[in-house]
Amino acid sequence: MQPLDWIVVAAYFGLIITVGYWTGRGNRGLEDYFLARRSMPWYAMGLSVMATQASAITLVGTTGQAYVDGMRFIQIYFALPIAMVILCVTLVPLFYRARVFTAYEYLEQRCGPHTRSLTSLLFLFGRALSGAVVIYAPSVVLSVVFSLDETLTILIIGGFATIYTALGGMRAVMWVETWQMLIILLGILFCLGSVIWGLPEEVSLGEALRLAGSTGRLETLSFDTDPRQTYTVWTGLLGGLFLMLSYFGCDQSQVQRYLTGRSLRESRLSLIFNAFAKLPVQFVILLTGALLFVFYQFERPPVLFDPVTLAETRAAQPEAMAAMEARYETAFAERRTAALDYAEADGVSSEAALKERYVAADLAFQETRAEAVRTAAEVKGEPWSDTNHVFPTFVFTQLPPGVVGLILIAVLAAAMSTVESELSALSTASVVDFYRRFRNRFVRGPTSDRHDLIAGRIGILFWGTVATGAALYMGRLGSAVEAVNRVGSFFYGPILGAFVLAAVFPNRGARRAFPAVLCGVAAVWAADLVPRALGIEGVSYLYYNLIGTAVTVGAGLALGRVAGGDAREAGTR
Amino acid sequence: MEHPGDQAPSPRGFFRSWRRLYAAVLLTAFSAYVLLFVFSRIFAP
Repeated sequence: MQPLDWIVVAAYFGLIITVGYWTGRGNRGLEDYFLARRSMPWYAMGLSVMATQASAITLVGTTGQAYVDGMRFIQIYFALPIAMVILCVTLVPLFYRARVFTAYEYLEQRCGPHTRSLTSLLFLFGRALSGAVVIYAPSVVLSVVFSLDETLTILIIGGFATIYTALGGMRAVMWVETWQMLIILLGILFCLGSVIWGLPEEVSLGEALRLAGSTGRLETLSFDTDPRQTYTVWTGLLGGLFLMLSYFGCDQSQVQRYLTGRSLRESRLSLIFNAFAKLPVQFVILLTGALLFVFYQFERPPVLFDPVTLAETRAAQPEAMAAMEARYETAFAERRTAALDYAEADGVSSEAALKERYVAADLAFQETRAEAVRTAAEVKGEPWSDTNHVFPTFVFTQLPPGVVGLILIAVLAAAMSTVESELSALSTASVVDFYRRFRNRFVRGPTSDRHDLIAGRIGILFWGTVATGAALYMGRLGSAVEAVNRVGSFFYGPILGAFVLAAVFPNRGARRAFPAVLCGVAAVWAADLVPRALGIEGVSYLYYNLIGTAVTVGAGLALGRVAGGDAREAGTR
Repeated sequence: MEHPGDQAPSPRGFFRSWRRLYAAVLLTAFSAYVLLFVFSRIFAP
């Protein structure tokens, strides 16, 4: 980090503090504090929705995933535009006209108070955990940059986001998120530009893409019909549709964004903006990771991208690591030569042979690296991968001063925007869905706006402390990308099922939504646990949302029919 | 409280109705899938 980088970081904090202070003044009640006085324009909501979803994991984990595995991950987002259209037609107008604070509040009107409490509780439980993951991910970056203890960086990020969100309220958070998303987009473009700029002069962009493609890094589509596979077109469209519907339609951290709209039109347009923008943004992030792979064909990457683990592994097994690193050096040199030969062989007769040689050299290189990763895992005594260290290593070893600062603040902005949204949503759900409904049991006399405001702030401080505390234990979850989606998937489907019952079957299944949601959660848990217990591979976690929704709706309708029959029988007696 | 957007929420300009806008979203998404397929076939045959 050079002085110029520190200036960029200081300017970032100056900007968000100024915007936050300027726009966050004058909160008088919960509608001000949690829903920004329902005054936001579509572009601010649209960018805020995008910033909430784009966590630091998106930048750090996704680029690393494209480096290691290629661009197949993009298929998860295939259903996002479809989901946005469905939500604009169905749930968004319902929420907007019901003038609710939380998505679950709407369920009370159709399904009863217990269903509201249950779904809100499931949201609180699931999001408290994922809030921890999104605090943990950027600590990976910062611990690499400053060689700081991860615990300390988790405490700094979690603490700053918590205090800032508690003070500013929703209006401040959303305008800050708008700026943060612009910084993230700028950072993403700079990343892509920097990787392309870093390629050797003799390798053009087309040749770089050919190299990435020959090792499968640009495979974006898979038509495999196996439901156990996550990254396929069918899983993305079917499983992903239910994930996106659940996330954008029933998750308070997203619903709260578009509830702040100054009209239904603005709320709808914010989602349509995301329908158009999300796939291109995700494509650019993944392409950056794939081109990073090409960059490291010509610049020797470290045998392990995490310097701390590398030092530990070298210390624990010095002879084995020395021999391995010697083989790694040779494999890299061979692959580099083969890559250059293949890149320059466009259209010549020996192209196929050169490609074969390059692919074989890459395979040999990857095997050596995999051996080093296995050794590191043995030394650590737990499953381990350095996927999340690939991108930070590139940024902090290859990029010029100023750009490092810009990308660092993009990662910080991505992390903080997601944390802010999580905390405000968790606090809104706890205060509106629980505290305000049951406070008469604890508080005597009438309560004022000021009282509600204090409750909202305490809620944010509480959840900030929980998420930061849990983040300290998140390091063992493996790939952070998988972890966030996985935890959320357990409850998303059943909650979506409750909304389907409420909106589509208000007279048939809605009143039985409470036990139906419990059936849905049990079904998802069974889908996850049973295959593990039997030692077989279950369906992809993306299908959990489909299973949860289907079982909840089915159970709700079946129970509704039984109850209806009972009622008719009672009526005839 | 009624908001202007509740009653006449149509987008402006070319997309004179929500239906047209939704159709444009879905058409763009489908075009993106096709473009990604072409991209895959060109660089990852």
